Amino acid sequence: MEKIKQKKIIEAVFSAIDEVNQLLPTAQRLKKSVNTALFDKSGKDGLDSLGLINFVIALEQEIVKKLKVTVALADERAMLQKINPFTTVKTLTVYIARLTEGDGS
Amino acid sequence: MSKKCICLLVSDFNVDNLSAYLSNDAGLPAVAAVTAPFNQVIPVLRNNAAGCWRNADAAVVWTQPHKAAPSFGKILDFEKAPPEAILKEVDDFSTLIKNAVGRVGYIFVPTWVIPPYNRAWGMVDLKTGSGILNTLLRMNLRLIENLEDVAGIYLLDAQRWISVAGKDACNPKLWYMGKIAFSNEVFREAVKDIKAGLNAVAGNTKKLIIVDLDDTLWGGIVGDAGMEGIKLGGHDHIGEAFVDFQRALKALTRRGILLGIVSKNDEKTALATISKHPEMVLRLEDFAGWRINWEDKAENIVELVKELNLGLEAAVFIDDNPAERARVREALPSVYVPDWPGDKMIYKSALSGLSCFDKLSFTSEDSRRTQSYASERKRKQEKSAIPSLGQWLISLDTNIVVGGLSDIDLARATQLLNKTNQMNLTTRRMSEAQLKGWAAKPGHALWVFRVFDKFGDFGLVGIVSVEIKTKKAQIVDFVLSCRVFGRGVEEAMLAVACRYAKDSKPKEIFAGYIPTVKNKPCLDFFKKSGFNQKSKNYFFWDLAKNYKIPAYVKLKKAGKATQSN
Repeated sequence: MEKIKQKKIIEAVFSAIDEVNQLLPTAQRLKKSVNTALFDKSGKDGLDSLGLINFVIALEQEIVKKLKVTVALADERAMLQKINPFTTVKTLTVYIARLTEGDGS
Repeated sequence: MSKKCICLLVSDFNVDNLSAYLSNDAGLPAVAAVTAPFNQVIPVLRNNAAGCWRNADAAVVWTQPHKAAPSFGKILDFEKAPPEAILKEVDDFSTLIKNAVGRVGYIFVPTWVIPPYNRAWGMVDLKTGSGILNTLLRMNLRLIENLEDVAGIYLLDAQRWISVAGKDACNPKLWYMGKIAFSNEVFREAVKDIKAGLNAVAGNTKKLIIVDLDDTLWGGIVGDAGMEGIKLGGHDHIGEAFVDFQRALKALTRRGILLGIVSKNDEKTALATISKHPEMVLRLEDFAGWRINWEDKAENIVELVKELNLGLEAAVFIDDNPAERARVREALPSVYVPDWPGDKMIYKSALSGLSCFDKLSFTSEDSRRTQSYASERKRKQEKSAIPSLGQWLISLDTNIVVGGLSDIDLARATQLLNKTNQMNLTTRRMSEAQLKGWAAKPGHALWVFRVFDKFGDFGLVGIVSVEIKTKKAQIVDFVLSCRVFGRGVEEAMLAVACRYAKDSKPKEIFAGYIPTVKNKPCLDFFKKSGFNQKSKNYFFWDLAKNYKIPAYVKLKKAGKATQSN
């Protein structure tokens, strides 16, 4: 069951990457990989702040579509995490799995 | 590679996403979007010298209704605001937009919308005086009335974009986190309409739809099932859908789009079905031409397009068979072959969703176009019956009416200038405002030519413009629709330019041909026009001599040319 849920979360993240890539110049587009860097406060890797907003909104919608649950990814809980959940695709999927614990897959 | 269109986005919300979609969209024309300073709509519109206007070819001015007309904000807050005060604010805003005309070639103005989640007062919302929707509708209507006739300004229906995006059209999170008023689905729809608008102003709209027959215009294979066995009309949901699809195609012919047929079929059976089936909406006279045989469709399309004097890039091909679509896409990349649904019941909506036919305006020439091609078929039939070309030209009784550029002709003249590729001396592309402004300048003169013969009226088909220089006169535009090539109209147009130039003192008039990939017919004409070819692309006429009009055409004056000198 957990594996199915994990797969759906990754699919949702990749769909959100597809969505946000449409807004980026070719050279800046994100790869669909678990190690892809999503956001780095220094601005060195991944998305800029507008890109992150677009990504978060797209991902929340994809999670509703794929997991049938509503999550709020842009709230203080995310900011309070030791490791920023938006660091990589992997950290984000772990965070979403924790947020949706107890919800059906 | 052609130059990218620089499109300035002026808005009171964050349009970076719209800018990214516009710049990344692979469809033509290629656009480089730039954004004006955030939330500075009024200062930017007021300031002619604002840096953001520099180098821009077009602009989109997209505002929120309560920002453009602040009193509408009171209505949103359920406060009282006099309707006349709101409309005065709409007028003031419209004036600001009008004042920006000329800074760029074209300004697109999306209509005002409110987020779909704003249900407001329910039924009271439509009441005059305080209803939010009622007020918004009045504001949009006033905006349209203020701007619809201003050359260079075009309104876009933003409510359609909201409807397509549905309940997610506006996401409050996007607003609070990024001051983004609309979701990306709305921006994607906006890009389609902005690009369709840019194509329309550049004259790049599609002119011809070529359709297959079996399972495209009717259900089933007429060669197998016979005329009685095809699905068309009647008490049948598929038959009804085909009738509606045909109606939609017929409606496009009234907008000046030509219809053609390319189908693998027995011609006699197919034509009999079109002529005699009681439920056919489209009849033979609705088609500009056809190729019904068992040959390769790509080759048939090339032949048909050539027969109609059009370029392949003007054509759209609709076929239910994905293999035929793939063949045409591969063989003729210039032809637009939309993906076509398998479900017959959504053919009509698929056709209605195509933005490639968008135009800036509709002229009487548009509504007559199909009829004009039918007349051309009759002309050709008569030509083949009359052995001598000279006799045939005399028999046509061609009449040419020349006049100045009036406001009534402006839309059609601009359309002709921007759409004509073959008989076009310099291929200048201009907006209505630019053309009108050019013609009004001292030393400039511009004429438009209408042509009719015994078979029918071609409408406004030619433009000539002249600029008087100190010792010489220059033919700046020489534009003629391919529908009247080789009928003596070209010579009549040159004669008008020469007569005017002679009266304006210069001793000589010249035409400088600017080559493009498509305008060789214009060069060929000038080579045999009698003008003296002094260098590769320059042709001169000594104004001491009269330039003669062929005896088989009659030239009449409609009024004075638009000239100022």
